[in-house]
Amino acid sequence: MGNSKENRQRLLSALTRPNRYSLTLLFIVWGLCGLFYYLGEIVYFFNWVAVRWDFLYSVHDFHRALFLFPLVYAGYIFGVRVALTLSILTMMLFLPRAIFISPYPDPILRMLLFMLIAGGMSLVTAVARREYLHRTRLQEHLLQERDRMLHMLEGMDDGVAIIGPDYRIRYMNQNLRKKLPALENNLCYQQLRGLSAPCGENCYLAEVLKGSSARWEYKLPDGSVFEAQASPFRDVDGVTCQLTILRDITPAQHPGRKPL
Amino acid sequence: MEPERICALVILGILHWMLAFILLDDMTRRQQMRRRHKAPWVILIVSLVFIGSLVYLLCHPGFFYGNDDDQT
Repeated sequence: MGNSKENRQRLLSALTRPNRYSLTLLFIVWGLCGLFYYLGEIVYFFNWVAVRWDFLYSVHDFHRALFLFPLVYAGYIFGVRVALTLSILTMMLFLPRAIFISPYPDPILRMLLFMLIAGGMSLVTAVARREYLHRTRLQEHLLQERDRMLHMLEGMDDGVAIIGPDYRIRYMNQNLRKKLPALENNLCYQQLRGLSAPCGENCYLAEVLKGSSARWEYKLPDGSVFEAQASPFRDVDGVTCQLTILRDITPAQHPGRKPL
Repeated sequence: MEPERICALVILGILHWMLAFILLDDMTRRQQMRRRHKAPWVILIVSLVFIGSLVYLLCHPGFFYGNDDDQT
């Protein structure tokens, strides 16, 4: 049971990517649609009286509509060039009936109108799919870059924090998490200094968000002192944040070091 | 000849040359294809309306993948 579901998923996955299976399917469906389109003439030619149904000799608007499947599929899987090529081929396939066979009024006009809609749908599908794939690739690349950067930050000896314009801590590296009892997504002044409002003179967030860098000394209620260095940073969502590097310079740990 | 048929033949001509242009452009990009192998394909695509192009597409599936590799 599970195996058949897996096989079905694998088949579906193979048919939604450009490969020999999807190409074969496209040719088969397009070929069958073509055969069906001229089935009336084939039946007539071979004199198969038993299958000479009226439906095969009626207005071919429905017969033409079946071509929507291969055209849209071609656009979705193979892109703009194949969608355009198949649309041209399909139109060329329709023309002999429109010129020589169809006894109904305006066969060329009806065929042109259909192709305008079907070809348009195929091309729009191709363009939309291309844009979607491009965006997905860019997002993956962006996330990979972010992971790489976070991996680098995690390995740093200094503490690193990313603080958003709303004073929320977006990220803290491992070292800082060990030293400071703050949690991500919480307000920095509340979590780090136990205040109910931003730090005032000791806060450089507004300046940093405008594009300048800042360096100051950061004293916590427990007596520990940090040398803070902040610069602007554009996060993955496009929001400018403050990237802060905090170095522990508590006098007990660094007795010879002068404060900033 | 009726004007509608003339119109259809003009459309067929335009479509044929559009398709030929796309396929010949694809052929010129193919580095694996030898020059002497290209000439028969050019004649086939240009002279045989619809059939020539269809045969070229069936013999060169690389066209669908946008690469030079027909073994895919």
